[in-house]
Amino acid sequence: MKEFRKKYENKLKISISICLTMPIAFFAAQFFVKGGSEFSQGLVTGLFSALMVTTIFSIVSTYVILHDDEKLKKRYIEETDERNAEIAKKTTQTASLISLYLTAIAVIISGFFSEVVSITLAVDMIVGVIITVAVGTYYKKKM
Amino acid sequence: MKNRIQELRKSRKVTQQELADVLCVTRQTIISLENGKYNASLTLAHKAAQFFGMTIEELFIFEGDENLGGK
Repeated sequence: MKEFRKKYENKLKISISICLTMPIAFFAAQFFVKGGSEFSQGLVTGLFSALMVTTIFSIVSTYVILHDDEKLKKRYIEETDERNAEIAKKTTQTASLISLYLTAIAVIISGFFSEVVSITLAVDMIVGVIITVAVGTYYKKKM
Repeated sequence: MKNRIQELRKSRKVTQQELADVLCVTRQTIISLENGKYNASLTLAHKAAQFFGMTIEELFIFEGDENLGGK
């Protein structure tokens, strides 16, 4: 529980740091897109506004949790519950496998219509497989 | 793997939520354990055994393939 509290304290510090540096980053990004299309300027403004709102929300919720032991324990249980972790692990595994098979089917089908789309999907599939193998190798060595 | 969690919990008049709070898991995990839908990890099995004041073997019933040379 002490480690969990520390994790949330660090999360609060990181969120505050992000919140403080956000305006500087926003003005820097605005400087780069100055004179650019309206779309890119709107995209930057939208992106930074969304990030700012998310960060402020994160700061408020983390602060509230840190100052309420009951809520902190509830959050601790939610995040560390082993059944939830097992469900998340199995969901990711199954979803990745289904996604891989669907991409393989899409590569074959799109091959009849568009070479570019088919190659893009094939590259995406291969990169996904490489990442899976690399992560698997890492955990085989770690455990 | 079967277990005696429900039986022992009821005999001690402990609610699922109370047990979940002590073991630091959600109430849903206790429900799944009692229904035999989920097998506890070694850590959770140890905590549950400690709570009921018995050994893991007394709380969890290992059957067939779960035992050495079991069929």
